[in-house]
Amino acid sequence: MSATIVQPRGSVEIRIGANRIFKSYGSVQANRNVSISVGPRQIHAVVGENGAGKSTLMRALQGLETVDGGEVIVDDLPVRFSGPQQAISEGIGMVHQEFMLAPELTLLENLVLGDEPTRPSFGFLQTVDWDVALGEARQIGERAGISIDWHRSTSTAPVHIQQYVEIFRLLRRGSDVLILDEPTAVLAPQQVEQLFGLLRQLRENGASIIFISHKLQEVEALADHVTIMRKGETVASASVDEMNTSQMTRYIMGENAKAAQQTRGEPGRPKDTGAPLAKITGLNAHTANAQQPLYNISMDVSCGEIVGIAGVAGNGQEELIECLVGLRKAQSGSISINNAELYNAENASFRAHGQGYVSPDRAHEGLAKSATIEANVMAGSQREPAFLRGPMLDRTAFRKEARARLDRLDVQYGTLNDPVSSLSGGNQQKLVFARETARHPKLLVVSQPTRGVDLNGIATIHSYLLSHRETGGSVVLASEELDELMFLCDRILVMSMGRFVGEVSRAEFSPQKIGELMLADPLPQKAANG
Amino acid sequence: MVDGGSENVVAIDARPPRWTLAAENAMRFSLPVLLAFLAGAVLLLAIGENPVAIYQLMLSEGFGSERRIAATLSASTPLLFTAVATAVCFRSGVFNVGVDGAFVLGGLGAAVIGYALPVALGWTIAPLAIGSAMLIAAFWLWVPGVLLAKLEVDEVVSTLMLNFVALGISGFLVNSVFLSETSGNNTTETIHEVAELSRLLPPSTLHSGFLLGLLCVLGYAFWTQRTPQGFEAALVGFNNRFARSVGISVPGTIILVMIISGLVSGAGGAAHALGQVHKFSDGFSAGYGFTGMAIALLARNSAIGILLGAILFGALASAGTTVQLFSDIPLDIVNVIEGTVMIFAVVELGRLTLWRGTGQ
Amino acid sequence: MKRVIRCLLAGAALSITTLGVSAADVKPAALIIAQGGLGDGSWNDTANAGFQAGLTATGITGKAIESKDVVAQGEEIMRRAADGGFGLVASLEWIHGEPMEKLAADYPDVNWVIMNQTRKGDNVASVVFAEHQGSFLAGALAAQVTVDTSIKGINEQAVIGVIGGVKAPGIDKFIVGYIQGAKAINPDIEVKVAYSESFGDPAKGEQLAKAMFNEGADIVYQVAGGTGIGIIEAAKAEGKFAIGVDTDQDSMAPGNVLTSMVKRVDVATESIIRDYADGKFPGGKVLQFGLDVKGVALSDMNHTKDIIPETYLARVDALKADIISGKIEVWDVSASGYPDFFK
Repeated sequence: MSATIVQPRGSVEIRIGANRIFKSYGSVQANRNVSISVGPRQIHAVVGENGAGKSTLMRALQGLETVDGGEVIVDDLPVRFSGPQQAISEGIGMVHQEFMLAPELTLLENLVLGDEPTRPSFGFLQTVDWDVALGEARQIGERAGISIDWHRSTSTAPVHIQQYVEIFRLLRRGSDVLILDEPTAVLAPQQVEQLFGLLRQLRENGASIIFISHKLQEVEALADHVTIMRKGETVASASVDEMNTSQMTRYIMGENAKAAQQTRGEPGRPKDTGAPLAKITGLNAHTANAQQPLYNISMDVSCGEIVGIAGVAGNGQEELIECLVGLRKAQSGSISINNAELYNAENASFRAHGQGYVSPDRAHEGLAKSATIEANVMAGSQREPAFLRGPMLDRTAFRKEARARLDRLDVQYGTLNDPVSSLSGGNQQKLVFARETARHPKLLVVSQPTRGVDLNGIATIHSYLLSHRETGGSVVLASEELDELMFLCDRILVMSMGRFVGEVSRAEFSPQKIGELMLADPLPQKAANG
Repeated sequence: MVDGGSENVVAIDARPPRWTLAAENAMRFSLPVLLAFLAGAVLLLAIGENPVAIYQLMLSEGFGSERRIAATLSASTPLLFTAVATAVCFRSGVFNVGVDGAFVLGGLGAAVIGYALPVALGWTIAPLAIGSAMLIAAFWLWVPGVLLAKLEVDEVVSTLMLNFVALGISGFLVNSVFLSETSGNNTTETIHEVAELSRLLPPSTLHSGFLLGLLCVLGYAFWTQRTPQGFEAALVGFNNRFARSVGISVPGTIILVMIISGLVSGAGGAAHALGQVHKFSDGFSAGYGFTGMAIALLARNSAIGILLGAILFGALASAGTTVQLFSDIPLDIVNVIEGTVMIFAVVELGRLTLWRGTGQ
Repeated sequence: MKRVIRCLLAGAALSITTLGVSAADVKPAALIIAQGGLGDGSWNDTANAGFQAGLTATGITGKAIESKDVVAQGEEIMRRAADGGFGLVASLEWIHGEPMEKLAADYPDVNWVIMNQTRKGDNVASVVFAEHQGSFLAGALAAQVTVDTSIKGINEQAVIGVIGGVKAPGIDKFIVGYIQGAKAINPDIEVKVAYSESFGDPAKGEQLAKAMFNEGADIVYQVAGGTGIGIIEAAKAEGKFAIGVDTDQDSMAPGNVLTSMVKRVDVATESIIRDYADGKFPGGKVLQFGLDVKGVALSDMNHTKDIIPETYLARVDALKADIISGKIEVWDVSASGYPDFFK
C-alpha cells in the first residue's frame, strides 16, 4: 500500500484523552473523575453497561458537552472546545449507530457533502467537480480494499456499505480520531471481520480509534487497550493482553457479576401437542411503506420452542414481525394462532388469541416515553373487567396490578407516576416484558429484546424467555445478536432479501454457518454490492 | 437522531421530587402570562402610559367587584367549552383547529330551534336546542375525524378549511333562510324567553351556561383520569405507534375524540346562543375556537389549567374593553398581551427552565 | 386581599372622577364601535369621525370603545359605561338594540343612542336615516340617465332595476323611494325589482344583475349588503351601471357605479353629541336624518360626474330642494306601510 488514507498529525503520546472529567445533569452524576488516554496507532475499546457514562464521555470528546470539571486532552495538551466544529477541525469524528447520511443522496454525494471539490465555471462560479470527487472516492475505496458503487442511492445501499461511507467521509475530512459507537451491531459476522480489517489498517496508518462495544469477544479480538466504565466512573483501564473477558465482565458488573452467569438447560421439548401453535403460510407483503417486501414466508411455531429469526439488518425481519403482530398488512397468505385465522387482523385480535409482543423499537413503539410508568405497564389492559368498576377505571386495582407486574420482572423504579424515561434501558425493557407477559400469552413475538439493555437486564430477560419456553410457551425471536439467538433458540430461520433462505437446528449452530446464510443471495443473477 | 441523552438518565433516586413537577407546571402556565404582561408594559411605556396604573385598572375592571367578576366569568363562558373541545383532541395528538366552526354551527342550530319551536313546549326547548346543537357540531367534526382516521387526510388542513365552510354556511343561512323579518341584516329572530338560559347574578349577563361549561371541564377531567377511553386517548397522544402496538384502535380513538370535541363545541355554541346572545348573528363567535386553542396549549390540556386560562382570557376580554372607558389605551394593547400569551404558550417556554440544565 | 381590591377600586374611581369633570361639566360620552372595528373605512370610521368632531366642538370628554367580542359583550360594556359615570352611551352595533332597551330602564339618568332601529324609552334616542329620500334621488338620476344613449353603456329603453336583500319593510323602504323617484322623472318607466334572499351572496347578486342587464335594464340599484358586491361586479363586467348603498361605493368599480346612496352616520353622531352638550338630548325620540340635515345624500360621484350631463344633476338638486321644503313627500314604507304602486 503506497499511500495512506489517514493523515496523522505529528508524534504525540496522547492523541485524545480526558483527565478527571466531571459532568452532571441535574442531580445525575453522568461522569465522575473519568480519565482516558488514547495514543496514535491505537484501537481503544470503551465498555460498560448502558448508563455507565460512555455517551457523556464521547460527547465531551467531541465538544458537544462542556464539562463541569477536568479537561479534554488533545495532542498531550488540555483543550477547552468551543463547540463541535473545533473538535472536527482537531481531527475528531464519530460514526454513530444511526448513520448521519442523507438517504436520498447517492453515496458519492454523501461522501463529499459539506466539503465538495470544486472547479471554476463561467469564470466566476464555483461548481462541484464530480469527476474529481469520484476519483477521490475510488482512491479511498481502493486503498481500503473495498469496491463501492458510488452512484448508488444511499437508501438502497447495504448497511455495511453505508458504514464504510460514513467512515470514509470522516477520513476525507482529515479525521484521524474515529469514535465508533457499537459499529458491529448491524453487521453479519463476515462483515464484522471485514470492518475489523479496515480498522486495523487505519491503525497501522496512524489513526486513533475509540471502539464502543458491549461484545467482549470483539474487544478482545480487535482492541489494544480497554477502558471500563461503571456508574459514571472509569473502573479499569488496561492493555487487552492483560485482561480476559471474564475479568472485564467483573469490572463491568461490579458486585453483581454472579447474576450474569447464564446457563441454558437442554430439556427436551415439553409435550408436543402435534398441531403447531402458530402457522404462517405463503405470506407476501409489499406495501408501499415496506423497506423490504416479504416473499412467500411460511413457518410453524410449536408449543415450547423458541424460533429465531436471523438476518443482516433490513432483510425483512422487521416487516415479518410486524405482520405477525397485526401491525402491517400483507397482500396474501395466512397467519393462524391456535387454528384461528388472523391474516391481516388488528393487533388487538392477535392479543385476544394469546399473543404478546416486544417491539424492537423501544423508544418509539415499545414505550410511550413521556408517559408514566403506570401507563406504560398497564397499557392495553384498561378494558379488562378486573380493572373496571362500571364504565370507570378502578384506579386502586389498576395501580395494584401495575406494581405487581413491575415486581414480577424485578423492575427498579421510583414511583408509578414517574415518566418511564426515568428508567434505565434495562428496566425499561423489563417493564415491556412485564406488560407483555402479564396476560400469560402462549406466543411471545419478541424482536431485539436486549438492544440497549445492560447485562443484568439481559440476564433477567433471557431467563424469562427460557422459563416461558419450559412452561410450554412459544417464542418467535428476531435478533441482530447472533450470540443471543444461538443461546436461546431451538432453531433459527435465516432471512435474506425478504425470504427465508435456510433453517439451522440447534445442533448445527455456528456463526459461520448462520453468517453464510445471512449473506446468501436468493436471486443469484443479481450481483451483490460490495 | 441519536438518542444520546437517554443513557444519562439512570439514577432512579435522581428523579425530581414531585413538588418540582407541580412547580414546573405552574411555571409553564404563568411564565408566558408574565412575559406577555411584561411585553404589554413595554408597549404601554412606549406610548407614554404608566403600566402599573393601567394594570391596576385592568385588574379592577376584571375582578374588582361582583359585577366585574361576573362580567369576566361571562366572557370566559364560551372559552371553557372551546378550550375543552380543543384539549380533548390535542391530548390525543389530533390537531383539531375546527372547534370555532363547530361552535358557530351549534349556535346557529340552537338559536333556530330556540325561536322556531312552538313556545308552548316551554322549558323543554332549551335542552332540545342544546342537544341538537351538540349533534350538529359532533357530526361536523366527525367528518374530518373519519377523513384523518381512515384516509390520513391531514386534520389541520381539513378542520381549518371546515371553519371557513361553517362560517360560509352560517353566514348564508342567517342572511337568507333564517333571517329575521323584523330586524336588520344578519341576525335570526330572538329566541323565546322560555328557552333562555337563566342569569346567575342579574343584572350581569353571566348565565347558567357557565355552569354547563364548568360541568364540561369537570367531565373532561373525569374522562381523562377515570375512564378506559380517556386512558387510551392519552396513550394515542403520547405515541400512537405505541398505542397501536398494545392493541388500541387508533382510528377509533381519533374519531371518538373528534366526536367528543364536536359535542362540547356544540354545547358551547348552544349555551352562547341561549344564554348570551339570545339569537344567532354574524360575529356570533369572536374567534372563541382559536382563543380556546391558546388556552388548551397554555394549560397543557389540564382541566385546572383550562379553567384558569379561560378566566384569564375572559378577564382580558372584559377588562380589556371596559378599560378603554377609563383610560386612553387602545384595544390593541390587550390584543398584544393576548397574542403574546399565545406565542409564548406555543413555544413551551417551560422546557427552557434552568433547573433541568440539559436540552433533553 | 380585600384592602388591595378596595385600593384598586379607589384607583379606578379616581380616574372616573377625573374624567367626569369635563370642560362643559357634562358627563362623558361613550361610543361603542360595531363589528369590524375601527379602521373599517366605512360605518365605524365615519361614525367615529362625527363623534370626535362633536367632542371637539363641545369640549365634552368621550371614549370610543372597541371589543373583539362586541356581539356578546355589548350588554356588559354598556352596563359598565353606565355604572362608570358616563352620561351618554351610543352603540353602532345593531344587535345592541335589545339589551339597550332593558339597560335604559335600569339607568334612567343615562342617555342612550341606537342606530337604524326604533327602541322604546324616554332616555333612548333612536337614529334612523331617511333612506327613502336618498333612494328617491337615486331613482330620479337613474331615470334620466337610462334613456341617454350618448352615455356609453346606455340603451334607449326606459328600464332600470333594483335588487333587494330580502322582501322586508326595511329594504322595501329603499325600493319604494327609488321607484317613486324614477316615476317622478318618467311615469312610464319600468323598474325591475328582484330579491337575492341573502345579504351575503355576491355570486347570486352578480347573476341577478346580469339577468336584469340582459332584459334591458342598464342601471341597477343594490340594496343587498354583501350580495351587492356581485351586482357592482356585474355592472363592471357588462359595461353597465350599478348604484351603491349605505357608504360611498363609487370607487369599487370606478365609472361603473353611477352614484351611491350614502347614509351620513357622522352627521348623526355629531349632531347628537351637540344636542347632548346643550342639554337637549332627544330622549324618547326617533331622529330621522334626512336630506334636510344631510343625513342621507348621493355621493360626490367623483368617477361619473363628468359623463352625467349637468342638467340631470340640476334636476336632482331641484327635487332634493322640493323634498326638503315638503313639496314632495317620499313614501316611507317603514312608517306608512306599502303604497298602492308597490305591494
